[in-house]
Amino acid sequence: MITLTVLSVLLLAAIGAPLFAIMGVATLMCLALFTDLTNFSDMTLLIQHMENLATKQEFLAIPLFIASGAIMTAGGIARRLVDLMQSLLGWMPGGLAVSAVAACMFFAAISGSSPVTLIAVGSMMVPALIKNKYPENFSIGLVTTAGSLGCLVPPSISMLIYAISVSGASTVDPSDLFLAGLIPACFIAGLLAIYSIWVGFGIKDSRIPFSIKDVKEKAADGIWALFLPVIVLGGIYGGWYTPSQAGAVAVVYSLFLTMYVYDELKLPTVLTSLRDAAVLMGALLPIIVLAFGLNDFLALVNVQDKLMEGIKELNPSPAQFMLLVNVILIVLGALMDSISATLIFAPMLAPIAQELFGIDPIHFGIVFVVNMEIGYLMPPVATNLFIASAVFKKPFGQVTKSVLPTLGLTCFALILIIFMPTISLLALNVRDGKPLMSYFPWSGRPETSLSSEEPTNKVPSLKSLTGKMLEGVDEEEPKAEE
Amino acid sequence: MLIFLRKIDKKIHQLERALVGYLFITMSVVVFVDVLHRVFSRQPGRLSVFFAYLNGSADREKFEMFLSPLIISLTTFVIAYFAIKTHSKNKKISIQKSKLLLKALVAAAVSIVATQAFIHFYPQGIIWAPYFGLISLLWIGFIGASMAVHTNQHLLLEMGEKLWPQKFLPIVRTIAHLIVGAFVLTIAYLGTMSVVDHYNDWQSGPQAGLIPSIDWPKWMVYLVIPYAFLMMGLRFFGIGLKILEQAPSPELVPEIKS
Repeated sequence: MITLTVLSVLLLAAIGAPLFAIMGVATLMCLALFTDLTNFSDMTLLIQHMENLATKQEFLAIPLFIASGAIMTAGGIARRLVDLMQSLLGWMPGGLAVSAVAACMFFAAISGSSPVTLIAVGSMMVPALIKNKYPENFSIGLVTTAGSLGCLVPPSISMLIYAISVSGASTVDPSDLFLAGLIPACFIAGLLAIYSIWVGFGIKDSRIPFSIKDVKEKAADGIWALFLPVIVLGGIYGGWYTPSQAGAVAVVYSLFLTMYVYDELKLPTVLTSLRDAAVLMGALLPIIVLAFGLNDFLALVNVQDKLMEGIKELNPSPAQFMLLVNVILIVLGALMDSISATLIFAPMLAPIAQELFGIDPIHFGIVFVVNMEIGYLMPPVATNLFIASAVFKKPFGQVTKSVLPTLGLTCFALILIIFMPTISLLALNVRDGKPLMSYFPWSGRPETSLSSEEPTNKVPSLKSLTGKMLEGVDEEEPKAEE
Repeated sequence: MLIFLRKIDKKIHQLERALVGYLFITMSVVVFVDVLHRVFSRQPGRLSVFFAYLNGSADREKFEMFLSPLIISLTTFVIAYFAIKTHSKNKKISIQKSKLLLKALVAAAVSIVATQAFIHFYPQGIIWAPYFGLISLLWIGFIGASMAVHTNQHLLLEMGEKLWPQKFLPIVRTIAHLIVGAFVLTIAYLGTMSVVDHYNDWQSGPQAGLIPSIDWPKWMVYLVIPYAFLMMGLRFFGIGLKILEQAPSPELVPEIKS
């Protein structure tokens, strides 16, 4: 039976069937062959998952952020961001490269997508870098890696999908994940910027003179685009609206910006962008719902309990467990697309990490997402390498070679992020008025921080304030789950 | 006959495009207006509670009467002022400062009138906004899935096709389309069974089988599932049997700027 199922999946993969079909056939076969659900009508379980989408508020954020990203990308935002970053950072050694990293980071926050960031910013920055005498491989590698930061910079579709996929197993608030992703994203971007400065020292005449007039001019135009992440993240962390409502705010702001302020888009172009967003959503949705079906099967046959038992027998330390998980995730990220990998493996691994090893679920989520970011750069299914190869018209082998130094930096950052949970949790600790430092649970239980018994003297965050204030205010809000 | 079928497929695709585009805009605007209402004008609105909290006063009435409209108009004025300025700069139109101020003032006045009208007609806000958003998500997602077959944009493991010699590729693709077509038609059938169940439930009583708050029959809302999978199945079969045309893989990458 198992052989039959595996062979069917391999056959479908070999003939180039869409991922959702591979996932769906695997789910149907598993449910029919390995569970008590033998009646054909029992398979309406899959349909229930589809219908349940209409009751899950957190899903609403995904199409809305995809739509706002599509509108912003079509509306000439990337050019304005690149201009602004160049005028701000171009004066320093390696300034153009640093501005490429910063532009990628901000554009990722706006578009929510790594491949889109790579296309939009990369197509402008790589020729500019090469023209300014930066080595070709360095330029391609840097922008390809920085473009992948989109997974980690909030609001990120990968984070939303992670939060949704683990929602049955552990509670991860997408807005917590967004906040937690900020520092790791800045950390990786910082490492890339330091590398750029180091390379920049060896290049003569690559700096752009700093001009306050130029900065003012570019800022007046580009500042509107920079406001989007501020409005979205500020609104969520200020407690003004939920991530899903923030998605709607982002779409309306994008429409206002691109149709009126920048006057770059007309209604037909907007509709085309939204059509593209719908198709992207249509490519994701069947995979998501069918993966939920597969998760049902895994739950029915107690795969998670068996996995836990197996891991208990192996008795690894938390550090060994995390290293093993990371190797698996990087291999998975290299073999399958990040969304499918997240949907299938996050609900299995997240509870084990939390229950057996005391690893914070938000910290684990960030580690997971960084792994998926690395997966975008790992052949053979390295989406961003394929895109970079096509955008920059360079052989795949050259692009793969060009990302090695920056990929190495990202892996170094990943190791630090794994064993120094403070990097992921600092922003949340500050917000919640907790001790700043968080320590890796080397013994298998969360270690109390050294300063936990010291009195904390922190200013309560705006969200905690508004959270207290709004107690009871939203009671009449409809609960879709009902 | 082939041309006729292809024309029908193209027309359906155009209808689907238009539907998802307008649905996206409507969904975003409805949820956005609901957010504005929650933040600014609902009683007690988030902004009023926030200011009352800062003031140390539990009396929010004064705020809702005076401060809230003032903040709305001031915010609109500032945004409108700078937006018109940037817009004029982008269009390379010179605009007099007095005209700019006047336009921003008009925008602020309109925002006050619109807010008051909204509060008058929808004192509780758009309570069905979250439900409408989720139903739209369902429709956009599944119609998008149907469109993705037409435009050849479903996610694939590309290495699959690279396993085969070039001359076998057409037959491999045909087999893949037929197998996937059979699978999605199975899902369409399961979807129809579920819709029939919801329809029977709806027939059983006046309040049965309705989506809460928005009171739309569930069977109508969920009809998009069998529709989308049916269309996907027909398209996969049509493409596999060379009756319909599938768009070539989209040009993902724009021309590089020199």
